[in-house]
Amino acid sequence: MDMQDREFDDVFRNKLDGFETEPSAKVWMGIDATLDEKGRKKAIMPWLSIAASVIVLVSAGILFIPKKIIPEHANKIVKVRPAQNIARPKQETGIKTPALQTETAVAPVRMKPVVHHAKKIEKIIAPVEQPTQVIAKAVPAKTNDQPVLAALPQKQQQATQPVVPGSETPLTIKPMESNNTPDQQTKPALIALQQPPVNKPTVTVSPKKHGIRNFGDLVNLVVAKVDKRKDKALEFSGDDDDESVIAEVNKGIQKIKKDRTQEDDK
Amino acid sequence: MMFLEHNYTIDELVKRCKAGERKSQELLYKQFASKMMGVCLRYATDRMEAEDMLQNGFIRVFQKLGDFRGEGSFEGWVRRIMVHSSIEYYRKHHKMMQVVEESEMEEQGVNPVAVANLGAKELMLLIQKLSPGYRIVFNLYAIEGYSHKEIAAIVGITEGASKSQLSRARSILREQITKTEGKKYGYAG
Repeated sequence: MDMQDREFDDVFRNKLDGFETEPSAKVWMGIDATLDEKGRKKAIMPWLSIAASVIVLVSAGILFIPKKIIPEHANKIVKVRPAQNIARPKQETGIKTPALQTETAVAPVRMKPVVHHAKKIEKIIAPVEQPTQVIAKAVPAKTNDQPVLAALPQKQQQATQPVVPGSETPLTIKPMESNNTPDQQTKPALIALQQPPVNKPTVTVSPKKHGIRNFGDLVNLVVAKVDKRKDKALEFSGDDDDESVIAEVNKGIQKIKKDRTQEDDK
Repeated sequence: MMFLEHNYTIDELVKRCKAGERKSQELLYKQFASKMMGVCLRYATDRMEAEDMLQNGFIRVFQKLGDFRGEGSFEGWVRRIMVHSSIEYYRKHHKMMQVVEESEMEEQGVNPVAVANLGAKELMLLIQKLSPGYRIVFNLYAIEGYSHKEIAAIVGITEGASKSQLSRARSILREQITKTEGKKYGYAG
């Protein structure tokens, strides 16, 4: 009673074709996990490429920009020395010192303590004194930094050279003035009340335009090229020469920002 | 039109799955899991292997869902993917196709009643005992209904090899059936 091949096959087909049995639950778990993994990879890809391009830009910047920095630093050191000596007296007393000397002298100074004090003083002083031409020029010079610096001191120093050696003289005059102004911060504020802040706009020049002095500035530069918004995706505060502090993170939905104006007032 | 939980038709479900809705993917999986497990079991040595094949197969189903144009039945499309994924499984695990020894096996007569008496589970076990090469060809030819030409293309062997593997698979199955028959009723002689 032999069975034909076809019949033999049919028996198997009829009995097995509709065969059903439930698989264990881990099969769906495995599918679910795999689909998750692949979905996540897709979602991450655009962010990965953005991160990668930022890294490429930054590293390209690190490779090519140092050549620019070196002359700037050299410049800085040369200019700073004489300027610092002149600036010192101003820091101690100089409120009503002839604006001509002090302001121009301050301009090239990039030494940390001096600059900080000068900045504060100047902000408040500005309204006190009649806005002289020098102030107007000197302020951008200070905040704008090197590129302008390089040009400024030469011109200014020539113009004021006769006065600069006499930087000692203001010191003698100062006691009188400084008696009147024991507190640098309160007094000018008082005066500011009496006199309308004529010069304010020039004083509060935004510190946006910097040269590149540290890593933070470099990142700022790169981010600024990519991100044209007012609040950048990532911004370092460049107030201090040596340290960079993240001042701002703007991911669109989330925004962390140090209040720059507050910081300056401190 | 087939209706599922929440009154989704297969078409709607497929559309939602294409959009990547995980809940719909799960529903679709549940709809076909048992049937496709039945398919994979025929190609596997045991349940574990079958579940691996099933998992790989469904991942491919969801990845390739965009390619399904609605021509022919969706179930048929899923089943084809399962079959291919099962064969692929053996390719990946280097368990592919032993060379067939051409030694002619003595054809054994098998009582048709004996075969007919065997349940699906017993037949399944017999198929699973075949070596992968025989099993795949027998499944593709006898149950899926592919021609030797098609099998040759799918598996990557010659048509002649497909034919000889099929006849060898049948012989082994017959032999096994006779054995179980003998065990069941004792050696009648």
